[in-house]
Amino acid sequence: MRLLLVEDDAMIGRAVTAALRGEGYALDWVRDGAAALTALTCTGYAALLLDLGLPRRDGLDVLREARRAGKTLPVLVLTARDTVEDRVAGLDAGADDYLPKPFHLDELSARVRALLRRAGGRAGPLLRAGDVTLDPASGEVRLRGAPVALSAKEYALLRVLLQKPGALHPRERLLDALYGWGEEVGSNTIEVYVHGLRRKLGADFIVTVRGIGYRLAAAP
Amino acid sequence: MNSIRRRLLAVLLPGIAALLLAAAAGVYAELADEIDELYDAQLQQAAYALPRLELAQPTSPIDRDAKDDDSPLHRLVVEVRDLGSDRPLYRSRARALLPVNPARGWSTIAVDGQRWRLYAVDLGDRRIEVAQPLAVRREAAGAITARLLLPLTAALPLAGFVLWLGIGRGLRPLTELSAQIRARSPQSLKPVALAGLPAELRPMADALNGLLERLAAALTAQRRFVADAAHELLTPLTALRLQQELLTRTVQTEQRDAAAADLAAGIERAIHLAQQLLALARRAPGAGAAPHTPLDLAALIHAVSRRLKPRADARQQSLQLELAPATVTGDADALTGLLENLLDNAIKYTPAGGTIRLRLCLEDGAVELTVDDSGPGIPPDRHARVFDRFYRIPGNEATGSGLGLAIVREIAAAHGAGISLDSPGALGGLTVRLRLAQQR
Repeated sequence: MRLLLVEDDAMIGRAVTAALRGEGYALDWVRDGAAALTALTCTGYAALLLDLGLPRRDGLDVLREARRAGKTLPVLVLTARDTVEDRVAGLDAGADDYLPKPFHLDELSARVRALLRRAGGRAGPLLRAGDVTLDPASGEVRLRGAPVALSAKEYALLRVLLQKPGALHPRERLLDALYGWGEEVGSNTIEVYVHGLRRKLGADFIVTVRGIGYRLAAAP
Repeated sequence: MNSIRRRLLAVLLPGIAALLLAAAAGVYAELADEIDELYDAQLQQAAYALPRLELAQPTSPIDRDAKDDDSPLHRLVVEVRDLGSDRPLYRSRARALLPVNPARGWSTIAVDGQRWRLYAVDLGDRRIEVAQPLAVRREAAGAITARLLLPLTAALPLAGFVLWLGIGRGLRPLTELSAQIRARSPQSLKPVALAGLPAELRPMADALNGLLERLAAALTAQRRFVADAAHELLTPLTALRLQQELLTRTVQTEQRDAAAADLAAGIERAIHLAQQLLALARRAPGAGAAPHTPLDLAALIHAVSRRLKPRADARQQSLQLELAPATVTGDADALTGLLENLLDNAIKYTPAGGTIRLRLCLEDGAVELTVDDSGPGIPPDRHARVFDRFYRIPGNEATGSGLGLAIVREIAAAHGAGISLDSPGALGGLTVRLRLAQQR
């Protein structure tokens, strides 16, 4: 799950980045509208967290531009402008949700989870495939009801796979989703984490599609 | 009570009374003339009527002295003498009052200390004298005048009442204007309606509207400032909340320390913003500035730089002072705030290891303060905007309040000081130049 945060305030940006990375998201942080548009063009993000009061390019401009370019990713607007008119303008410009400042980290992550859930076409909070369930809110993974302990990256990978349980996940896409800018990426990292998940959740839980990537064996 | 109605009445009623008196005096003078003519004619008629009378008892006059009354006829005195011997033939009074041989025709004589009008004429063998006190005539004129004046005087209170009503009516637009103003909601600063206002009230209404307009502008500015300030406070407070929540989530010591340091920095930032807002509110026009006194500006700069030097040292910046002795007139606290803001900005935006120079020199009788730094400077197209409240240059790494230069501008303006920016300046970064009048 790779997220893009657009926030010009250094302190807020640092705190949100630390918090969401701590929840296992890969997160890229840019500080102005122009950089945000460049990032959106180059990388596939699962969601966009957008501050409206941006230098260079107004946040709403960025949003309209991204929607015009056909970007369908869910967008959560973060802003201190919270009059009804502001919120309506934000939603009409293509935002999916609106979180006024000052917000709580817990609410921010809950709204991010909700956005991702909707984007994945689910209404329930649990991610599920076969006997495996993942609760994004608590970070708990269970196999046939019994809790399973996963490393942070294993958890992040499983969450990406469960987001679209029936789909084929190309290896490159998975790398993209797991690592933000400036994070060290080993050449065989995905294989390492897939191996770990197979060991903990069953050898045939993840199927390798040779030369392309992976998919989950079980239907949801 | 000070009332326009009373003032007008106080002028108008005595005015009307004086007018009445003047009219009465005129009438009296005119009447006196008329009455003189009338009574003279009477005297003459009486004189000419006498010779035809057979005087039955030429020497026994009709004695009326005892029951003398005030009627003009009764105060008519007639004396007839024989022309040759001056022997009295007839006297209307017991006592002889008139001269024996007066001038013929009209004359004024003194009788018993009173002035009398006398007509003397020789007819046949008789000399006839007819006389009357002048007082009779004055009394008649006075009585007629008084009769005329009385109803007018009685009408004076009525005139006062009519004036009272009329003035009230004339002042009604004023009452209506007050009602219009009184009926507005306290929030309404709309101008008062000028339509239908009399010319006398227009200047007042215009002045009032001007005041309302200025008030509305000030209020709008104030509201915008409060809204901006609240908005600006939300950002550091959001950061604080996030940092605090992050702190409670983080378990690893290293990350906790980093989060705690961030939180401390966030608190400093919020405090700084609040202080800057306070400073700006104090410097705002109309906030009641402290009195200006002669100040040693160089000493002030020394004090400020001593206070901020540790921060420059922490960033390995070289802080240079080149200060000529200079005395200016100003508010020491305000100027200290101005210097702190300028130096604080220089320290904040100049990279570690850079140079900051404060210079004070005298030029053309003015004191010029220059702050040079070797920082990134400010692009010239932003020079006009950096003095605006809450304006921050895009992409700025430092988390300032956006108020520093706004405060500097307010203080400079309160001291009549000109302020200008130059970038790149003498040290390659920003140069702030402040010109103050020199105290002599």
